[in-house]
Amino acid sequence: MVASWDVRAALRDRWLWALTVAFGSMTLAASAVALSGLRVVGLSSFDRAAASLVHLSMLFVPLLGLVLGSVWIAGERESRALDFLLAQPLDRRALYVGRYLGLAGAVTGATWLGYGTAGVVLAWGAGTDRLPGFLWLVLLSTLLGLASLSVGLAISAAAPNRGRALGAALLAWLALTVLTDLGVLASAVALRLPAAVVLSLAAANPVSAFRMAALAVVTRTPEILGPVGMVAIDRLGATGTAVALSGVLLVWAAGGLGVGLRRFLRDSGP
Amino acid sequence: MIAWRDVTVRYRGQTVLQGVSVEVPAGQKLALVGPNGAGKTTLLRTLVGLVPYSGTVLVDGVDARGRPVEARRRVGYVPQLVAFPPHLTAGEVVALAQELRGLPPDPAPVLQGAGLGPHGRKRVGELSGGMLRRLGVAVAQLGDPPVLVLDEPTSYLDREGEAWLVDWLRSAAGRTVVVASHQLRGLERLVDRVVLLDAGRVVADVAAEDLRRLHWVEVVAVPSDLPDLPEEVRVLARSNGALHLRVPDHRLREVLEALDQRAVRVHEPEPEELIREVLG
Repeated sequence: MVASWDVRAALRDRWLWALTVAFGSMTLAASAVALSGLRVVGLSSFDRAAASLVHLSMLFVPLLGLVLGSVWIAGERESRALDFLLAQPLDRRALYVGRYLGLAGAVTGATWLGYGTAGVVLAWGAGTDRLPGFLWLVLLSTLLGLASLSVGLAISAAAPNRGRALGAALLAWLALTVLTDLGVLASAVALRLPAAVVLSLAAANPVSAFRMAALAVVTRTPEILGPVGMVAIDRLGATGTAVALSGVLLVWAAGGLGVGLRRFLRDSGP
Repeated sequence: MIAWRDVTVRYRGQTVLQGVSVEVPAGQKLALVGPNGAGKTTLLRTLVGLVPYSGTVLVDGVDARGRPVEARRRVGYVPQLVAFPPHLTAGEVVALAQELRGLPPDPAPVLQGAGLGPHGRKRVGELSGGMLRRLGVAVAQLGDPPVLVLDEPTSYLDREGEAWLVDWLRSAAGRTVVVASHQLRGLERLVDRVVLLDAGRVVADVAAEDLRRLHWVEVVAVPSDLPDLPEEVRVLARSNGALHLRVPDHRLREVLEALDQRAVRVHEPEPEELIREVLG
């Protein structure tokens, strides 16, 4: 019940629409550019298009999940609107999980909408023989959205107001998309870490996990993954890598949800 | 019925409530009065589980900590600052609250009853403070809970809104009602009992009837000559020919007639003064 109301409310959220439109436009542009290349250089252009979509998703999907999740509870706590819901005869867990499910519906819908436009353009231009890879990409993006949303909602449960929640979400986005990878890279070089350790460190970051999983199953050019990804494919195969890294995303989604719920229950009384 | 037994609330190292015990029998109307920061809001928030506390809180016999959902089902709560999810319209707020209370969503009659019929499609952010307060009171009554709790109900209400609230309080017969306010003025005529909180403790617990009986009016008049006055009337002061009289409510008409209706100023005591008198 809470979920259905939250989906309805989220659809009126300007952030959601702004990011969805931006994501959809970028995927459409990336696909169109790839399509024009396809006619010249053949199917390898699909790989390039897919790689572009992966990188777009790495930026937009976590931003969508983190921002939408972070402003929701903290904003309502700040305006005292949360008291209205907390005073109702509704279990706190049901409220939090319901809210998560509602927002998850909105984030997933926005992600699919963004991919939908790209998918139509690619299918029209390149046929449907690479459809499984494309669906993998959509599935992995959905999982990344759910993981980001869990983290965003956990931030929201802990933040005292909307401004701080949004600030923390943007910091988390920066850390997940840029800083962590740089840190892993620097550590690998400075400490001469073995490839397996670097792989584990990289895979612990949901955005990196998504990138490796998506590139492993979508493209037919594993070199694009770099040496760490090559190690993963060498050991687990492309599909095995994607499945294992999907597990990482699921752990982030479930873990973030658990941490956020715990914090929410602690602060919202019995 | 409500029972707070030895309720203590600590927040960020400060004690907001210290061992508060108050029992409100079913059907009683109670005014919880005290200065800002006395702990009134916190005490009310324990009923719906909005603050962690030690001690026991019972709502209609249900332990608010042990069975919080059941306890909340029995309470209609109107907070001091009424706020709803900003993306929703007034009608959607009512429908959501109805669904959460297991009722079929049908906001129109509820909005009509609160005088908000034409505003059902407005987002809550577009409603005035008074409208929000009315919406809050209407939502709090959904499901006909036996306990109604209003925190500073007169804030944000204009005169028309206050009159509506007074009518509503009078019509809430049979329900247990707790009204928190930083001032008692007017409330003592609507409730059965007054509890005064200060610095997180109960400092007075008196029947409203006692306050009403004690109620007096200070009359200032410039009589040509001093008339015979009833024994209960006290002369407070004489200055420049003006006479300051303290007149019990039930003697007011008689005194005004004796003064040939020439009272020039009337002053009523603050209800808190009456409480101090009750306490001696």
